[in-house]
Amino acid sequence: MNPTRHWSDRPLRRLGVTAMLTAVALSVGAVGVFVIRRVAQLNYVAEQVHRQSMLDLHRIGELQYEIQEARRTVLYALGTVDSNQQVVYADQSRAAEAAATRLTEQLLQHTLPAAAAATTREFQRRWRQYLNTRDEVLASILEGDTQAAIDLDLKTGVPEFNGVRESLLQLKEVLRRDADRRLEQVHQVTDRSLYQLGATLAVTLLVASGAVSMVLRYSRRAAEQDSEQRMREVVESVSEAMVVLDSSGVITLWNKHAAAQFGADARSAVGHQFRDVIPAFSSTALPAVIASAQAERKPANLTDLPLKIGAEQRFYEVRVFPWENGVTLFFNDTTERKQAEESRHALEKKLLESQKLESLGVLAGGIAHDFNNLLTAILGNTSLATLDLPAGSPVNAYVTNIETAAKEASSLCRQMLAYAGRGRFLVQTTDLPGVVEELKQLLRVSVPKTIDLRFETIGTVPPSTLDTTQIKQVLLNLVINAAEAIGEKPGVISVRTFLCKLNPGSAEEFVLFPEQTSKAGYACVEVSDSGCGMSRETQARIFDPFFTTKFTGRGLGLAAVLGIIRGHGGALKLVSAPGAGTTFSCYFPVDESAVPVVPSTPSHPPCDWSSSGDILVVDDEAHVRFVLTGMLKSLGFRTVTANDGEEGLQIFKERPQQFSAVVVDITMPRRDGHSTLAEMLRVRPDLPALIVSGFSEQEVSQRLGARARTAFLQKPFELADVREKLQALLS
Amino acid sequence: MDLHVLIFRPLALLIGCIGLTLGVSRASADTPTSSSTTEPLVFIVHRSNPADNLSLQDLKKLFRGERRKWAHGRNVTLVMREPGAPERNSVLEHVYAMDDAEFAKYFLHAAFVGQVSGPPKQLNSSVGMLKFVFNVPGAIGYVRASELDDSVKPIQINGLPHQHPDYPVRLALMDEESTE
Repeated sequence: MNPTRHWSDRPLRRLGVTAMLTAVALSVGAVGVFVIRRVAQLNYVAEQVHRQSMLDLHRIGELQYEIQEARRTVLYALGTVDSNQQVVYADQSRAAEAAATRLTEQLLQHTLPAAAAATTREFQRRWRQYLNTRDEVLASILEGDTQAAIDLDLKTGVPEFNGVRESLLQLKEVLRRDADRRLEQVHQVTDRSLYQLGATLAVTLLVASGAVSMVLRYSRRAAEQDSEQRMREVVESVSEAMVVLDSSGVITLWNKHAAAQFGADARSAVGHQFRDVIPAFSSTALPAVIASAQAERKPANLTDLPLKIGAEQRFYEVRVFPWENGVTLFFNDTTERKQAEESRHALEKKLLESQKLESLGVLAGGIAHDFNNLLTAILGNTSLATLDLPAGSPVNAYVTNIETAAKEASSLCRQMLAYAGRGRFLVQTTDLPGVVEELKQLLRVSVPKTIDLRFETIGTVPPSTLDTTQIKQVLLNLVINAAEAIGEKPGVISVRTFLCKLNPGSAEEFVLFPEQTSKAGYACVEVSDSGCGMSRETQARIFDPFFTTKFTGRGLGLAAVLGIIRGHGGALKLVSAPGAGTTFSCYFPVDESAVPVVPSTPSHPPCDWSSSGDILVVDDEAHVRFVLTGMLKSLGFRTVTANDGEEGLQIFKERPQQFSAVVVDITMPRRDGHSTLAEMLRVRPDLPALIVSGFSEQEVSQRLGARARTAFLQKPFELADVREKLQALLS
Repeated sequence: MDLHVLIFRPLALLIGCIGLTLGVSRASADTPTSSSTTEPLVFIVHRSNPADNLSLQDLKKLFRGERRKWAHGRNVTLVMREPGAPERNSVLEHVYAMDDAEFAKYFLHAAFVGQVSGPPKQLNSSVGMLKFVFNVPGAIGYVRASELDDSVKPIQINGLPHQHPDYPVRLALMDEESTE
């Protein structure tokens, strides 16, 4: 807010208006006073004219009387013979004559109109003429010559006196007319003055009203400016792009957010058609929505309106508020929100996918575990049956078929466990390029000759903690899939290994991304092919268990890849497009501190090893206990069995020194294998123990810790496996 | 000596002397003398009358009706004061040399013989005399010199204005006063 006080500020404006109105009032008052004074002057003049006219007429009346007196006294003198009386009459006649003369001179003293002056002079002339006659008549009377006096008077005096009287009447008429004329002139002047004054007053009032109107207009304009400023501030304070259109679609208001969003400032937008400022407007649904809102006089909303601003496609939520002569539009740029929602949807989808895979993993793990127990029973029983069958028995072939099928089923279980991330059995610190190098020959013979299989290692790749068997399985699956994607046509498969780091910001690009990225980096193996590529729909489902595009596929290959990489805490990235080939990038964390577990070498001991003693078998699965009991008996041992850990522990505690070793399952009800074995070892620390589990050795070792007299037997197992483990444990 | 006697006696004498002196002076002023008892009697005519001077003889002819027209053609109109008036008496004495009876008889005879149309006009005052002469161009009258005004024209007698010591027609005031 500008602290400088402007005239449009309300107090200053009020002061200005007051000053202007005061000036106007003073002007009107001055004009009014002038008018009143002028009217008073004219009234005075009219009164003067009237008074003068009355005075003149009064003088005429006096004059008439005096001339009559002058005449009458002559006649009086004529009517007497007394000279003294005649003299008196003569004197009176002369006195009347003097009075008449004085009155005439008074008439002539003030300015008379030309006609009146002429008439007055004519009156004077005739009056003097009569006076001469009268003098003669008087003289005759006084001389005593009455007859001469009468003759003279009748002959001359009477006509002359009539002339005098006539001229006086004319003078009276002239003066009356003149008075009327002057009064009329005064009236005319008065009227003219009043008209002029009225015009002046009207002009003054007009000017005053103009001034007042101007002040009010200025005041209104200032108020409007204030209002506009406030409205502008309100409009500018709106966090959305606000556009006001009139009924013809011309922009009448355009706030700064509109300028920022649409790239046109208010100066170049206001007064123009909205479709000219935003050309993409016409091709959207917005014109129809505006027309509908105006027709129904109801607000309307439009979500995710695509508008191409320049070369960029953006999305808006538009709210339409119709009014009488136009419409107000609020544009809320939802592009980022839409992108964020899409990202969120993708993440949620991924999360769902991940959860689905997790649940499938759990399911697969559980199924594999149970199947392992069943397969353990099948394989164990077939092993025991083989021992009892005589050589050359035709049953041997059937038992061998049963054993082969059980082993294939065991392989499926391993893949299912691998998918569930619970199949890492043999981990070691090794470098990924080395694993690839070991697998080169196998991979070359696994793909058609028409395919160019290339290997490349970029830079130095530090070692990682890997289950090499699983890694080889991953590579084999990916390369075989790549070869099948290329088909019989010539193509290229590239296997590259290199060191890289993962950016959490690019997690969306990955099929699988770890929750915590390794700071040491990741060893990456990348398998690219020039095959047919995959559509998005296919990409979304290829990691689902039992999904396959192959006629003979089981749909567990890529699921196992995903599970193996998840089990290693790694990441997986897939880039593919129809006709553009496919690239799988597998990332494994570099972990120099990983404790290498010396893998148990599958050395096959002599088949005739046997021993003696009591072995406590603790397993909740009856057919597993049965198989183990049979195998141990075939190796010379006596067995004591327990249905669960609690029972096993109880038996063991009753005679701990009786048993040469214990065979314990991990997953059991009431008390699991870990707890049972730990309690037994607390009673008898030197107790040899063989742990049997469908899970990996690493998981078991991490919980029990490294111990010399403990061995691990992966389900399913055969008699040879049991012999080998016990021989190593008891020797 | 008493203080009153010393102060008021001389004062009373002084006042008495002043009063005596004033009384003597007034007595002497009120006493008429023979040399100052006449006043010129001025003959007057209308201002339009060209005559300025008349001999005493011509004056007598005019008043006796022996000359009836003026030089400018106007008839002569005689105007006299009422009987008993000093002015009339003086005119009877100096102009007519008659008394009132003779005067009346003279004009009765003159009218009878057609010399005059009638006796002179008779007015009872000097003012009337003056106004009459003022109104009648051919009139001739007379007033005392002290009563003369500008409304009329005085006539020299024998070439002498009325202010002249030898002016022939005078009015004896003593006679007038004694008469009165």
